[in-house]
Amino acid sequence: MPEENQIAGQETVKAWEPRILGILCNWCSYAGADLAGSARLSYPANVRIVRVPCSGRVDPSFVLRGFMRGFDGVLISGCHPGDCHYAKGNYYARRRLTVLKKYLVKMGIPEERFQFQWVSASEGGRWAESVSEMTERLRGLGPFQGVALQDKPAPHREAAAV
Amino acid sequence: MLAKSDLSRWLAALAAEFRVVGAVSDGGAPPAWRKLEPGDTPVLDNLRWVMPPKEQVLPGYEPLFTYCARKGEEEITSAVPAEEPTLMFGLRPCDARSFAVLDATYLDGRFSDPYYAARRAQMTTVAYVCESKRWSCFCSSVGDPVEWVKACDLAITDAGEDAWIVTAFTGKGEKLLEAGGCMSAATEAACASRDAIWEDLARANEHFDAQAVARAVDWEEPVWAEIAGRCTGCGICSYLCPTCTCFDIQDEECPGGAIERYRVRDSCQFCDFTKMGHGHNPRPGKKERTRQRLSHKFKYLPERSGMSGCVGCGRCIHLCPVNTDTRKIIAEVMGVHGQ
Amino acid sequence: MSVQAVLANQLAEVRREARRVLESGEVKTVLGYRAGPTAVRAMPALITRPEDTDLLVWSPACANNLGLYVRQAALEGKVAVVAKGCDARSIVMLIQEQQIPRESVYIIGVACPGVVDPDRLADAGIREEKLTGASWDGAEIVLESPEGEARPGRESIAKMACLTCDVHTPPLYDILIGEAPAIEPVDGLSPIPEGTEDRRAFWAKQFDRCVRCYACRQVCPSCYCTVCFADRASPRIVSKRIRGQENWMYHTVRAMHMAGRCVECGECERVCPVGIPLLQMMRELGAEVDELFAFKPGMDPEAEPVFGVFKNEDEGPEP
Repeated sequence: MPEENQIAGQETVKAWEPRILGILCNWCSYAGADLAGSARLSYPANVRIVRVPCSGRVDPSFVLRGFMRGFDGVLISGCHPGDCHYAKGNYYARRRLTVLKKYLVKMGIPEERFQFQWVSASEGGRWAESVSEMTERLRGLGPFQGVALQDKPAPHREAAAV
Repeated sequence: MLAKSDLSRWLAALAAEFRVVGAVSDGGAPPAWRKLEPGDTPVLDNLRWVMPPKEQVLPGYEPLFTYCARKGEEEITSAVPAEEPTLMFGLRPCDARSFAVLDATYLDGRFSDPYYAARRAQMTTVAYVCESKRWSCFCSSVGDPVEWVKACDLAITDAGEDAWIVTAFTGKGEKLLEAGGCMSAATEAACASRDAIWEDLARANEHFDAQAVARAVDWEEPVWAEIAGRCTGCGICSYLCPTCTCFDIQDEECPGGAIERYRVRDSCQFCDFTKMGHGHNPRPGKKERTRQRLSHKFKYLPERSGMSGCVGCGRCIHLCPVNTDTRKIIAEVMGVHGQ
Repeated sequence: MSVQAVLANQLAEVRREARRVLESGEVKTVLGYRAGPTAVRAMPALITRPEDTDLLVWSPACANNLGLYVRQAALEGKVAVVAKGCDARSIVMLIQEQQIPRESVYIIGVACPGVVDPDRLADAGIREEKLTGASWDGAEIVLESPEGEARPGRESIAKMACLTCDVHTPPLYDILIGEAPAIEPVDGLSPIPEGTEDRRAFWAKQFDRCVRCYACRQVCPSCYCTVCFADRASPRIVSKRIRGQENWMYHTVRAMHMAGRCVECGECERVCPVGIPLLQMMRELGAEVDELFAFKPGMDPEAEPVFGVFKNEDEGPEP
């Protein structure tokens, strides 16, 4: 687990580790991630999880803020179509996030950095796998260069803690 | 006199002593004021408009201080910039004058703004005198642009034959002439060219006397409602105005737990500019906000400081999305109430 | 008949129709254009008196999207709008989103080959104050001055949106004035580079210039929220800092709010004081939405907003 330097303004001098923002729906994916934990499945600790009631709650601004703040990747996970706890939320999410993904590519953020997927409450293994895969892909891609000009680093690289 | 081909040599010599700032176009964007790098050519013609130079003394985003509390220890780090000798190169008369108007607000005796003061303190000004006016220019309608030029340290004017004639008005300006040994003696023809350009500059079709306009501006002008009907409520007129100075102050968390207090440009045209915490807004509509901006510029500031708040640069006219023309508004105000 | 005479006839028809609907009491307000400070700049006009319809103009100077004023004006009563294709698309978008009922607008459609962007005129070395008029000759824009007529070429002086427009005839109207010639959209004018990394760097540079004047938002007829996300303090969705990264976030969040709702009128790009190619960005996004959902906003008043509905067979991640 990468150490975090909590003192404001001081950069950690450590090998770079991909930082993934995970946004998980409470009923399926978050439970699935929890299952991965209780089943002691090992997977990289590079993901920071934010819990939402439903993938339909995910506002594109969450994802955009993640990239603005310097996350290397964003991973959204919800219930499989047909299984949404709120019946339809993930259908709306599917439309919205599919468009967001294509828009991000147009804005210079490659597909590999923004993933969204369906993970059910019983799919602890699938969750662990998806984080592993994404972490590896991001290691290959390198750190996200940020949304601003290079000489003005993303806020999270100005200080260690996010 | 300075041969135009010698401009970069002179600028390089000046850069040894000053942070030289000029208006430069990066990739086709409107020229913006920034420190000149070797190889940069500042825009020195009035065919193109440039961003207002106020950004140099009033940046759109300016940290004021950061506050950090760790283990009971508090630390406040001020962000007042260090003074640095800065040379504003190529200010048009309107923009050169804008600093005097900004000073009236920001260096106002008891209430001098330390951030503004630090940036303004060691500023040297070199004016570029426009050979012609663009359709939206009206500097000579609101003041005497030649006087504004003479208030600078130095001025460059086209002298024909690919040269500039350089005129110093202060001791500082005289010293600039020596930099790099690039100057030659001015010819009579060059002086004549300069005089003709300056005379042309001062000429105006109509003159809006600041105090007369101030008296004429009325709370109940029908023109406010007329403009409000089409005004989109954006911030272009005020953001791009060289003398508009309103700002907002925000406190925000920084990554790592520090809090930064910063200042950002704001506009009285935004619908929430005067909105208060409990929801009331004394300027609820575009009519009130239009009236406010034009009254501030043409009535309150002249009454308070004796000078016109407007320098006639015309940016509000040619950039307004709905083509509202400030000159027509003043003319209407004068027509209705003035002489 | 000279091109000026053809245009004069069209204008006479516009004024006649505007006067008729006001005099009959059919509408309360007419939204149109009136003369601006130069021959290539018009101003939006809100007319309530029949005699004021003589102030109306119609020419390549009429760049504004009058759809911007419709929602507010319709609250006062029925409104007639002199509508180009883009204006009509905005009106249809408002109807699609149930912001105004169809019956609240009377659309005086005008066939429009394309309007002038005065900034592009300046870039082409033309001094707009010398012009005395502007008209159309087929697809070509004709500029008139004391020296005579000039046709500098649509591609160099028209508003960018007009060069890729495919609604030279408005998609919805109650009466149509004029006839649009067949005009091929022009491709390859976007400054946006290919290549993902080049794009990232491109937009970083563009948004570094943004001054957050919000003109793009204010002129957009699709941006009608009473409180914009960018103005919210609690929660603070995007910082007020005027700085590259926050500017990026303001624009990208707004773009996603506009996805499937932007009618590509190009006002945002025209009014941006620092020249950010917002229209080109929105066109790319619009093409993605169209490809995914076969939807173009502002064309069919009966169509449902694309993100308000879903289909089981929508494209998405592996199940």
